[in-house]
Amino acid sequence: MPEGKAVKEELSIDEVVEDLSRYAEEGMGAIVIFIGFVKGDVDGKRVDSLDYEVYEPYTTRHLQRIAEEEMEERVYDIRVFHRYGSLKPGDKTLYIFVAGRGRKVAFEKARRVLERVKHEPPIFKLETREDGQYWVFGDGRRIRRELNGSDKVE
Amino acid sequence: MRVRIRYLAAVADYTGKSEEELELEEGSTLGDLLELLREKYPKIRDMERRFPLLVLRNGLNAKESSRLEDGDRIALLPPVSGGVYNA
Repeated sequence: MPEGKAVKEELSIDEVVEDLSRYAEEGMGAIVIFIGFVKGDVDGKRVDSLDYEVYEPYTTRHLQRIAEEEMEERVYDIRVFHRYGSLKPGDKTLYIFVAGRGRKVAFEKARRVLERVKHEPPIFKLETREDGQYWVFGDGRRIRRELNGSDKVE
Repeated sequence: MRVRIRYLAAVADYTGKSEEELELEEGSTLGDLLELLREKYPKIRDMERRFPLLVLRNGLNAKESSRLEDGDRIALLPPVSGGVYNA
């Protein structure tokens, strides 16, 4: 069953793969997995942490909807898990699993799901790095955080 | 009636808090609430000049003319990038 969810803790990738493996008997030939990580270096600056804020239950509802809407005939299952909270460089942030009839449909679907997850649900990123804090938007644009409200667009 | 308001991410920087409950007159609209918030937090106007403020009512996009009801959950959010939020 397709599933989308905001999660606090790290996920057991093996458990999800094991669960999806049962589709092989029905004709599934490939599982594509995407894993996003917190980068330790952005624009040559050291990143200390990346804080993800979600708006529950709507974030989970939206991720669930993406997983359900992207199901199609040659796709057996889609699982999307987005982490929230304070994460450090090297931590995993996003997991996308697509079980497909073959590699082509699985890769294409994973890419499409990723683009939707990056742009649609209410998930917000605050990057703390050596030169200050930045709100990060889905297209990579950053706005420097100034707590007096006079943010500076970078 | 009482409504709960959530300020997400960068919006909370302008209000200084992440959520609160407000008492409103019966029959108030979402637009009335936004005006009240702009008065209460003048910095919201500065923010609106910088990026579009998105407003959800119980998780859905709502028109400013929509009438609020007791227990409504309102959220003020900055844009992600696609700007599509209906959950």
